[in-house]
Amino acid sequence: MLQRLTARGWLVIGLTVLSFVLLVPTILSALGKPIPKGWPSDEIKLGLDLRGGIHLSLDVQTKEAVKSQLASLALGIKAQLKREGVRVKSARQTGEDLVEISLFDDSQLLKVSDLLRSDYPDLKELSRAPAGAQRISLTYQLGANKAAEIEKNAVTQAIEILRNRIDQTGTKEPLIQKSGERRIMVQLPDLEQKDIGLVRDTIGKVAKLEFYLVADGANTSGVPTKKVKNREGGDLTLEDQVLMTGDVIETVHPEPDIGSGSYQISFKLTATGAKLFEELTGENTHRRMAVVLDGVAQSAPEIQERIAGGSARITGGFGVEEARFLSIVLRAGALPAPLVFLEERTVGATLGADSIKKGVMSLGLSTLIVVVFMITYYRKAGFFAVVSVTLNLLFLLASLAFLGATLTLPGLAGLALTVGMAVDGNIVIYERIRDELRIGASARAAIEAGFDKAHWTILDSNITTLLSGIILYIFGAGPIRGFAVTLSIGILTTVFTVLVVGKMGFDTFRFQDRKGELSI
Amino acid sequence: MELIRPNTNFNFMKYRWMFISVSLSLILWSIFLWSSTGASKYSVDFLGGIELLVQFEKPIEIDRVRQVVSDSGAQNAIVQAFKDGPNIFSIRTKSDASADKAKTLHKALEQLADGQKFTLLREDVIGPVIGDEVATGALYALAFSLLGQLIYITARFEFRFALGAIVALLHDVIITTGVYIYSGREIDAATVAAMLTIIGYSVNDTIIVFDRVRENILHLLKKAGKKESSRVYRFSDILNQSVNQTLSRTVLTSLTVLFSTVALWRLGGEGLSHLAFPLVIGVIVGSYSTIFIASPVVWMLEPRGDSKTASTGSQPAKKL
Repeated sequence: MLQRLTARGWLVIGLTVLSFVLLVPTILSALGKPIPKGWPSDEIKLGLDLRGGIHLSLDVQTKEAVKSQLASLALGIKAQLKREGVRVKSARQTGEDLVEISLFDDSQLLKVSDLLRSDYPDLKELSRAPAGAQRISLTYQLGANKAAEIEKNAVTQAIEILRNRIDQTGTKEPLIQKSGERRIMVQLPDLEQKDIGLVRDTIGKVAKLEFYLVADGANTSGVPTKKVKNREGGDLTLEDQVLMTGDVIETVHPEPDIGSGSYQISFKLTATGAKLFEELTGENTHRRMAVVLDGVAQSAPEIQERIAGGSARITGGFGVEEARFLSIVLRAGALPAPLVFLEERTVGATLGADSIKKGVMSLGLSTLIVVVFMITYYRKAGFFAVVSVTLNLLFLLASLAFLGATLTLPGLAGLALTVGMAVDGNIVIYERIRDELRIGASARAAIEAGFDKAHWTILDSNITTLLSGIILYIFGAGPIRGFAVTLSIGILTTVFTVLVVGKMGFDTFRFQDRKGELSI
Repeated sequence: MELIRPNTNFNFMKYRWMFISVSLSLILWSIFLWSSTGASKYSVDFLGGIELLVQFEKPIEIDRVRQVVSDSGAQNAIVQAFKDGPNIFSIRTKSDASADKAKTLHKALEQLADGQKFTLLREDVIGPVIGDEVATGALYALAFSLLGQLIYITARFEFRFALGAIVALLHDVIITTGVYIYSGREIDAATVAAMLTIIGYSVNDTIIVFDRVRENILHLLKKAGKKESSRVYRFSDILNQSVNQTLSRTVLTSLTVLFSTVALWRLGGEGLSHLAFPLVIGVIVGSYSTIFIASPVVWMLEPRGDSKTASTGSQPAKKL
């Protein structure tokens, strides 16, 4: 039966061995064994729809990032002016991209504008309130280039902070990446149902911590006020000037609040933060300082005395889960901008496992039917077609492992379709061989003619399906992409196995039945 | 073993009007179904909204679920029982989707479960921005796909063959969509993926026939080079002959793909079954169009009537 092993034959054997090598990690991980380091391929990853997990698309509100940064900048300007001996009424962020500095009089106007021109080149003066008035205010605008840079950095920063937060929750193998100019894609596999809420909140919470003075009748320096919601309900009126933000926090952890049975958040400040805090508490003793988290006042205790040492705490009667959650987000730092949830898809682990089971079973059954049909209809040649389809699947899976592609639920459908289409190719060739035999050609001539004439037909039909696969890949997303990948690669392996492996088979083996004729 | 006798000679071209009228009625029916169902035929993938698949441990009346859902603020939500397993419900609301709304819905359902186990099988919360993007992407994909096929077939064969193939293609897509909508399913991203696959696959079949047509024409032209004849062949004869000759392989190739897709449809579980159903319909309709529709269309587009000296695409025309 064995005639000769042509160069084609060696190629096929070589590729088969290579495929097994590439699939070793997948086989090992299916058996629960560890994967050796440095192997040329990874295991085939399962998509979220097979593993269970959550997929999120988030939009970064980059304009808010600009505002935030300007607010910090305003704080810095005020501090610097103070060091230069300038009495500043207020320095705050307004509008979309403006900083407004209010002075008590115009005596040091020149000094201020010089300082800003030299030290803050990204800010350009926009306007001034009339000279000689009780208050002088200068308004500066942020340059467009700088704003764009801040927006871009906001996305990168957000990704880092999310990564930090998610790591703290203990989710394994998270995937967090930029997807588009302002978008972040997050994929968290193997998430248990009870953890979904916590993770979602961890991602969504901006965790912007700001310290303000509560507005009271006395002591207002003419700074405008704003109302914020109080955590226990009701409103609180504050002086609209941020005194300190959450980036002065060095460490944070939840602590039980002895006596009240609830929890508090206790944190240690950085060196700069400690100094700033000492200054603020010293200057504003007997006033109330409000701690505002994401626009909601958590607590507003009275400052008893100057606080040195850089420790502080937020008491708000938090529950243990809430305290733990807030510690996580404060520890990672505030998000530079709020995130809007564009899309959220969750697949429970039970459904995922169920899908795998049913998917593999139906794939197996469909392949079995096709195998039985081919052997019955085309006898020995049909049997070889089955072998070539098996190799086809082997090459396909090995390619997926090599490319690090993900197998999704529709991807399983792609596998089934590949089996169907691979068999199609064989059918076209075999029917042609039968045609040739019928008009009297010898076995060898029929085989050559069959492969030759069917050659272009097979290429044409597969190229058209490949076209669809590629378009699907370009315009599809998520699981559909998995389908497009399996389908497209499947077409390539199909063309190879049908034409090359098929021909090799007929060259190497003699598919003869008992009568000595071609068993096809 | 032979499923189809090798020397069939059914006159497809003669009965073409019968086949075309069947197709036209199906197409009109599909278009009617499409226009008479409004936005409800699209899933949350395109419209945005919330879709939940939940399972309760013990049986719960569907009306209680409906009540709880609408109380939680989700207006016009569709609640359906799922056949796939016990006590599984699908809840869909196609209004503004937000993480908060989903949370409220969750809580309400958990309360209904009242202590017993309540499993979230699947949840999709799609905002309008993404919905629009998916819809636009789908349209572009379909358009490019059709264009791509048109260009490829024109390059390999000839423009009128390409038109014949495209007509058969559109026929397949329209009727498959009609049957799909009739079955009560919603059109989502997976449906579009299935359509694109059908577009690619249906052309396969058609190419097998056209390939044979070209081969037969070449064969006859070569033979005619040896003797004088003004009429080389009748185009309708060639088409008939080609379809008959390739009948076994078009039927068999469709049959094998049908085996695969039917197995997925009946046994594949919720997700696979959903993707496989339009594929099953598409393969069947695609076979039908290849055998009964593609060739008559090409013949009707033939400018020079039935007697032929025409070229065959990639070969130069031979005059006799």
